[in-house]
Amino acid sequence: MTMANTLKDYVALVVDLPASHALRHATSDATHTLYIRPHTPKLPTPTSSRSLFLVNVPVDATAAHLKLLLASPVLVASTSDSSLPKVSHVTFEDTPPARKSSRNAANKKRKRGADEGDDPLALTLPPTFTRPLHAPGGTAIVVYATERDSQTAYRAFQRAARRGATPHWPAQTSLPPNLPDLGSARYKAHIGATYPSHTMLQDLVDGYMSSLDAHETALARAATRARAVPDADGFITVTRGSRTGPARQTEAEEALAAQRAKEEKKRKDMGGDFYRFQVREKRKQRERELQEQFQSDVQRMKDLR
Amino acid sequence: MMADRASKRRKLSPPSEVSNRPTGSAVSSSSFSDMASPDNNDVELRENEEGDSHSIDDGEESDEQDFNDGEGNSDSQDDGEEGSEASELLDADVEHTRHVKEQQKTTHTPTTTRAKPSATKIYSKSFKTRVEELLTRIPVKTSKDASIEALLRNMKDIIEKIREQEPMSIDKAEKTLLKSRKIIIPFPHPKPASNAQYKLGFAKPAAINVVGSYALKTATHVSDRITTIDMVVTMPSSLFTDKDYLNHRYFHKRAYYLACIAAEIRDIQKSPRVSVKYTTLHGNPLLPVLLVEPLVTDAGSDFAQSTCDIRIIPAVQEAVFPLEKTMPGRNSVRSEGEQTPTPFYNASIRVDSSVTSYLKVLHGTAATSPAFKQACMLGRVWLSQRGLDSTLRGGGFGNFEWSALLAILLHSGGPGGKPVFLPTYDCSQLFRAAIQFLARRDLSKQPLCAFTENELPSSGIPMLFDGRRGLNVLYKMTLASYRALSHESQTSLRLLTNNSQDQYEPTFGTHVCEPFMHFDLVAQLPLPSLGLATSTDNTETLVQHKALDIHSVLTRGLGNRITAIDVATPSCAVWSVGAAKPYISQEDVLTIRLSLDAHNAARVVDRGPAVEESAEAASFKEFWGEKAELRRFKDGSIIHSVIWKSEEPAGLLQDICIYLIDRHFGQQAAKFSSFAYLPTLSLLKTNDATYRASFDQVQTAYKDLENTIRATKGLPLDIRSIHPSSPQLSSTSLQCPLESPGQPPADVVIQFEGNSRWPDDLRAVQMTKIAFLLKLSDLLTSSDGSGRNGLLARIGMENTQSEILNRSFLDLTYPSGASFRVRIHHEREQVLLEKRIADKTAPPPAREAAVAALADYKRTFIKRPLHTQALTRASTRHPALPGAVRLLKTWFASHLLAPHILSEVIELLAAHTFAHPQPWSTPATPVAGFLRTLHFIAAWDWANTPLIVDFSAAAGAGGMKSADYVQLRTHFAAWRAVDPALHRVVLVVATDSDADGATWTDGARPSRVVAARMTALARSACAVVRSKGLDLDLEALFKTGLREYDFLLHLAAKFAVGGANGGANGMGKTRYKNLEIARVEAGEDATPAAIVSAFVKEMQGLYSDTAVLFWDGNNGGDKGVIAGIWSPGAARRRWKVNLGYPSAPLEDESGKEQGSARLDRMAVLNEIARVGGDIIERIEVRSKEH
Repeated sequence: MTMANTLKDYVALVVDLPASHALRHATSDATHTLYIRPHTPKLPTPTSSRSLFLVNVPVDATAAHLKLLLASPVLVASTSDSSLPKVSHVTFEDTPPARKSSRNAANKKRKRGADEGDDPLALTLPPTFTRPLHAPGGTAIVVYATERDSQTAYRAFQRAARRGATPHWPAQTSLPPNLPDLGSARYKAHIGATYPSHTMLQDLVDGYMSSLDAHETALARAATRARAVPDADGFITVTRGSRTGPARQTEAEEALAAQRAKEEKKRKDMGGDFYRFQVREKRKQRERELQEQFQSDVQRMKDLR
Repeated sequence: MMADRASKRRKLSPPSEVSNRPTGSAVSSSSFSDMASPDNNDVELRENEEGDSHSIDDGEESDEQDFNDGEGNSDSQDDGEEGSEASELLDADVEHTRHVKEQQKTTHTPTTTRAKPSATKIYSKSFKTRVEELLTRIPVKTSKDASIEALLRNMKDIIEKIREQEPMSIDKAEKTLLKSRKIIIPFPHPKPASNAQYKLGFAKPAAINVVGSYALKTATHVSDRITTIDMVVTMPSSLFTDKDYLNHRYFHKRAYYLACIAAEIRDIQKSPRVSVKYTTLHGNPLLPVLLVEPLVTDAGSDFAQSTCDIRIIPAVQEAVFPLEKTMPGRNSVRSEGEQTPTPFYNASIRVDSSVTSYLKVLHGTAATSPAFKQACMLGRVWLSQRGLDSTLRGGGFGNFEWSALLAILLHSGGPGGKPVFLPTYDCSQLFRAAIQFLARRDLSKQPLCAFTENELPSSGIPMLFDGRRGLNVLYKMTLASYRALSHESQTSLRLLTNNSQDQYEPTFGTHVCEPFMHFDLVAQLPLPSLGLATSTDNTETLVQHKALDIHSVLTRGLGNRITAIDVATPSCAVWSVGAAKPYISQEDVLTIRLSLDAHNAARVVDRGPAVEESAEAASFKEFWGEKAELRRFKDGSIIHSVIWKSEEPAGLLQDICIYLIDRHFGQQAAKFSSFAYLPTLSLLKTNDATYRASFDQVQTAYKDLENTIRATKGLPLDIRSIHPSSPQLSSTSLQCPLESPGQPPADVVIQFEGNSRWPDDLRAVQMTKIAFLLKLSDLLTSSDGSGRNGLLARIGMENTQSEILNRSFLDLTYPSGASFRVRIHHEREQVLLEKRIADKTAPPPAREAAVAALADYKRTFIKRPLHTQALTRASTRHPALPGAVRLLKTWFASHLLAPHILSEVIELLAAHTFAHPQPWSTPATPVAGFLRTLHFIAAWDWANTPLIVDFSAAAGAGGMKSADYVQLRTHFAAWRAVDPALHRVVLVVATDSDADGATWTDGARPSRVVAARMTALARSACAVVRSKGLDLDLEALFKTGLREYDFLLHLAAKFAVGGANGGANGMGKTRYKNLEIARVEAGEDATPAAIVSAFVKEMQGLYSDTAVLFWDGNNGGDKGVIAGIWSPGAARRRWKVNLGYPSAPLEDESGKEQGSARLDRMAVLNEIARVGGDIIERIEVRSKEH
């Protein structure tokens, strides 16, 4: 089967998959198509000019896989260059299509390791999978050392695709040995990791609780300040609570709910069947409802036929 | 209004974006229909959807309302009806119209307590409409009438032209007929003595009439049965003398007359050609009749195509034999010194004498009461669905008896000879009134004598005596068949008076008499083994007597173990006119059918009389033989008793039956009796007792755990409640908790007292929960060294992808092997989540996640404990429920549907059968419960009807109010309005405590494809059950079919270990519990089943848009296979980034498909193979790559 070597503005690079033991009886070839183009995010990032954007990355791909694959000699066979430029690092994006904006957030994430303190309540529980899988058909960003490298590589991929060259997906043996295994070993590790040790958990919880305490104290202090100090527009924020300090948000809500319930009750007591006209209206209402219901029932019986 | 509510609901419900995922599954659902049979049209056209209308009539506010379904036709009430009440018979709704109206007419007494508030009548409207629809559908079409009329006229001509025969002696008559016409006279037993003084002759018939349902135009075609047209040939009175009613003389003369007609019809063959045979009228051996059938070779004629038979019945004029001589109490078969009454014989004569009279009565009634004919048709449907008919085998209560009952009660039967029913009743009222009459009045103890002054004494047999015609209409009924009839009518009556559920379908639409659905145990006794002399003409009577004997012995022996017993004799024979009546053949069997009492059936000890009561003791010993033994019981009493031993209730019953048959009817009978009940042992792997013991152990462990936790000192907060929340704790899990290791622990939900110190952030709440669990685990294990009670505690993580779902649990394992998973319920989570959902500024994905989290919260912490509680109660009330649930779970697993349907849904499906058993009674055995649940699933139109399980109704706690039903329906309508394409909620399953209906099925669990497959499988299973009848092999219903799937993942041998025990070759299975503990302590939770499960779950999560995986939810079943089908929605579409599946570009030769891509199936399979690694042995690809 001849494949199109481009799709929209992407280069469609067909990758040969290693023969699978499980699929030894299958008739058709095992290939996987990678779509590549220069990375052009809406909001340019410092690295975007020297990156390529990959689509349809296999679920089990790792940085090691992509680095090996994109430097495959098959891709350079007929070019003057003796080898392809090296990939400096790879970022996978496992984001659902709905969240367009978060791609940038994810990009930034690496950069702002120090900002972690922004959200002191984020959970810091250990991951349970040794090697996370990506969403099928997912994307990745491959960053090169220089802009020129990325362009060279992209041109090489274009030529290779036109030529119909098929690089091989790296086999297990050519990958670094510290890469965790797939298969049952991975699941075994996963199941084991769902039961972290008590001491580790205790440490985590203690750390979390102290930062939570600090966070809550800070919030309380801010609230106290807010009701003493006018804001930029000259308003003073009104907060519930006693003289000693603002109330906890929960208590405020509870008080509000209680008050609402009280009002509701009052309203109910006044309404109902106290006056004659109320009784009459209620009955009319009931009749109307029944009539409507009857109509809808008739309709439904018709529909059921 | 619905739309109104729907829109309101839409606001409350999660944002609709969730349901609009770009999966293209609208395409998928239709294209999958090749493997899922009910396509859209089918679903819509099916007639068995539950009606769901709410009648508008409403008597809440005043008693001036019309209580009868808005039937306000007061003009039809004439004044002569007062005092014509037989109100002890009729006290339910049928009476209401009259009752209320009378009140209006006379005084306004405040006795309206009988008048139910008819707001509860939400289905009755639909019942009426559907009955009307049924009545238009069932009458036999009259298109072929002309040809049939012609044929009947033809017959009449032939019979009228038969040459008169001078009376001649019996010998001569017999010989002449045999020689000249090759016809044998079908003399009933005993044959006339050859030297008898009376003579047989033939004379022109006094009249020839067509009678019965054909004449009355009430013939119906229910099922494919053949319509029989009854043609009565009235013999002239000149042939008989006054005394002919004695000693079978009448029957002999009648047989000769019949033979003459037979000879003539057979020999004068006009078009259409017919075949002539003898048979008996309703199996009554005294009354042979002629059966005229179309000849099969003559296929072209209208008669052959009309599925009609003609039955020619000789009759006699009414006045020939005096009424008083043939009263049921008289003796008409004289032998020396014996004067016992011969009611059956007498009634047989009266039947012949009253044929024309009944024809007149029925026609007259049809004229005065417009609904009479329709009520007859309804009765026919009702009877035929229950397998009841006029024959001796079918119970002796059939269409004729039904019409006669109606006619009699419309004319008489009440006190002072006043009618019981009014002619103004409409057909459903008349039907209901008749059912009520049959259900409430025990005619065997309280005979009804209509049209007569003198009451007949009660003789223990059911009696509905028509004094004007001298006939006991129920003369063919035995006590057993009468009991069966009243049982059926009681069930139907219960249904008809309970308006809160569908009444139509169980009353008329369900084939009730399916052997394994209706009865719990069916046995067949070959007649020859009973030692009956098979070569006499009298066998039919002998067989009848034998059946009665067996009935009485089994009734006595089984006592309250059974609720109903029925002994059916072979059906009546049809034989050629040129042959003698056939004897009973070797194949003929007596069929014994038992319905068990769930609570008493499994009883091991039968207690008899005490040792002092010598007379009873002797009789007891006589009855039980060597099994009877004197025992001393714990309470100090010394009594005669019988001890049994068996593993399943049905098996126990079988043992008792065989023993009793052996003792009372001989070894031969016991040896050759074959019992058909369906053993479940091989399917469920454990027998009932082991299973029960295992659950008791878990319950004990749970109680201990609860006490231990409650007694624990030093927790920061007090414990408010601890709730079980797992099928293991309601005895309904598929595997025995202690017998099969490797199962997840039983869930327990624990709630602490409220405290304002809990953090306000959802993530912080999760961390606090971990802190609590750490504390709890420390307290439980460290209090006295190595752990109290030897408890082993570990904290585990779940939902690792989310920050707001419950993250942690505490696993507590007992040395016995019982293990529990404790989760902390924190009420404020709900408030926090709701706040997040209401927060308009939050990004939509975050709100969606909060919606999902809230649903999960409610499921885990609120609904599941409630469900477990309800199910535990139901299991104690219905001992067969756990077994049925387990069978159903096995069924779902063996058809690879289990992971797609939450176990709660399966449990509710089974519970529905027990909570709403109509038209049957509550199942007493797991198999019956299981098969009826399949029957329900097969008929369930889930696209248009919710499943509503009302646990409280079964508990006798009043049940749900009509307002509750209205609410449920509104919820249902709202779901359908929000999600008309059924992407999100397919099944709506609600209970009395959970009105939402989507708790267990939200998120396409099951998806539409799976639900359709479930229905298709249930239908084919029901078809098998129906076609196999008694030869049903239960295991055949559990065969996994792999034909329909696109690809199969064969698991490696190490991971695919057949059966439930997870790992026969070393990895998972531990024989000893201490080893099991050691395994848990060592942290070896990675059993093969757990690994496979984690693998499949991850794959299904990854490829949810690409393929649907089917597996048994455990380890691939016996075959070790995970099957999958491609989701056609992903076949080809415009390419874009983040398609959600691996794609390959399509060729662009014509430029048409430019920019389109297809699903790269091989790439998907390769990915699965790589991720699965050593778990998968082989992937079998079925469909062609395109």
